Amino acid sequence: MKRGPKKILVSVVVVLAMVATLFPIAWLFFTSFKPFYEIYHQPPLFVPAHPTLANWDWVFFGGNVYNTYGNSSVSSIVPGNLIIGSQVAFLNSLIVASSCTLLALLVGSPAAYSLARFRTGGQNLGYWILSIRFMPPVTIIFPLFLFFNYFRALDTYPALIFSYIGMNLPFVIWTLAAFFEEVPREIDDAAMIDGAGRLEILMRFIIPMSIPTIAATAIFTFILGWNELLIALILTRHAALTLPVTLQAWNLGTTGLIYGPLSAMALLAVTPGLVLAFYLQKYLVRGLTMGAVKG
Amino acid sequence: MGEKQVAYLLILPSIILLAAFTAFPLFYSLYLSFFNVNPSTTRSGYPFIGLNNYIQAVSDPVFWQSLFNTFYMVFFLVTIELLIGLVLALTFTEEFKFKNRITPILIIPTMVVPIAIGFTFKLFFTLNYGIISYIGNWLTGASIPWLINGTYATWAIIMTDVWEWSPFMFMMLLAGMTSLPQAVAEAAQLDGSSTVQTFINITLPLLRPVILVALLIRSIDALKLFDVPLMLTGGGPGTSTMTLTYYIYNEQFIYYNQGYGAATSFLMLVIVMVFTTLFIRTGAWFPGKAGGV
Repeated sequence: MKRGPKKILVSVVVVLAMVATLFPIAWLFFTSFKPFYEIYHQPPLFVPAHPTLANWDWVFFGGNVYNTYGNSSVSSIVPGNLIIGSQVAFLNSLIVASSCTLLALLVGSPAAYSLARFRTGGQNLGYWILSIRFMPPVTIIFPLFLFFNYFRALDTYPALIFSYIGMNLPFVIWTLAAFFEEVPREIDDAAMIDGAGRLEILMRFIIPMSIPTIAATAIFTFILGWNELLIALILTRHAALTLPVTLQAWNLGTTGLIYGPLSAMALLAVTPGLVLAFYLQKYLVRGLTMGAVKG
Repeated sequence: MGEKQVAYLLILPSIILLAAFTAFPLFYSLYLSFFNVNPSTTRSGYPFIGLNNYIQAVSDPVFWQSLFNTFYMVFFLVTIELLIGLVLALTFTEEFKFKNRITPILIIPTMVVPIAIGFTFKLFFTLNYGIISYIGNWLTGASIPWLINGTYATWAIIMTDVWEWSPFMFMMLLAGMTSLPQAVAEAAQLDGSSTVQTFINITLPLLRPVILVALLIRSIDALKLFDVPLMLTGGGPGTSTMTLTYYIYNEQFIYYNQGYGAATSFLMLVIVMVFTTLFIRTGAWFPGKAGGV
């Protein structure tokens, strides 16, 4: 192919990809500033003609909801106390996602080091841990429900944090093990001569050397926890509802009446992924394949 | 303490946590699948019913439909994502302005929360008011029953997933392409091979391992499809967009057939395992001569 046409083709594909990627997010953004009657406008409006902050007022301060019937309070649309405000849900999501990240890193990095240096348990142990990542979570969710019910721990942060361990820990162990294997063993040997123990080597030498990778792994784990829906849907009722569950519960309870406020809530839920994507680009392939493919 | 003991000590907390919160629930789920478990039998002790739950599952047409729906969606969405990923990866092996700024923008869909994506696409497909619905109606001159007709609803879910996960294929293939030895392709070009010929005969076979890994990871993840159907269609109309995970979720937590749900979830686990094994064993169907995945 000649240079000219090829260049044009590349530009066309890039522009198309950009538009396709950004359009839904832009649409969500603009919808969150639309008054209720513009959401049902025909033809659909991309940019609101009369932008309003009412939707965001509801998301952040629990202000009135504007729906197709006009202005009404939250309780008249959604019965019961099943659904909480997005501020609380946002905080819950933040707490759960950060805590399970911390726990997975704390427990997972020594395990990763052990696998990388000693091939502990042969191949089988490693593959067992890997296979958990591919197990459908729906298989274990009912026993987990019974378990936390037994300890009266349903609808609490620990229930979610420990349930997410099956999703996060294999991820942390495999990603970090793949990275630790690239750290030269000479570092360990030199430290051993100075009389350092294995845990000390890990804490004082290996981890400080791996900060960028560990940070990227932490962000991935955070996003896994932040995005999770199924487990949270089952293990939370009210106090520990996360943002995804709250969004889906509101959507179910209001059947299309308050798309404006829910757009604002959805955008709030999208924000961390949106921001962190820029940081994670370099690690994406490594992360999504748990270290199997080097990006 | 010997090195070996230290190695096990370092990994022990992980093993305990994984055993307690994945392995134990897994076996307990298997155990429950042989009992009649529902809220009315909880207190009296679960009656043992042998394989009845499994027999009930394989004779339930909705189970088979969920299975069919899931594989139908997975087949098409993974294929489309692979094709889009290939086009994007080929494009991004070229040099152009702002490339390093554009790449992170394109991976946003894989990072953001799926339920919010489901919500956004629900806005798009809403009858007459949604933008995709509106454009579709304008183009065809008819009212397209998005989310109301089973086939259209299925494709709405596929389109949503394609938007969300094509960037994954793109990044995987791009990583694979940039690590390919340039010399081989250049030598082929010198021998008079065209760009298309080089791609089919050289690049694609060399990419084979990366493509297979990407297909496998994406397929296994897509087999668990739940969030988007829940938001977009609620499994409907009827059961036409019910996926396996959704079906099991419904049985266990909406209809409270918990023993039955446990049995179907085990069938699902076996299906995923068989799929994975077959995929790895028969990887030879893919063009190229290199060994397994």
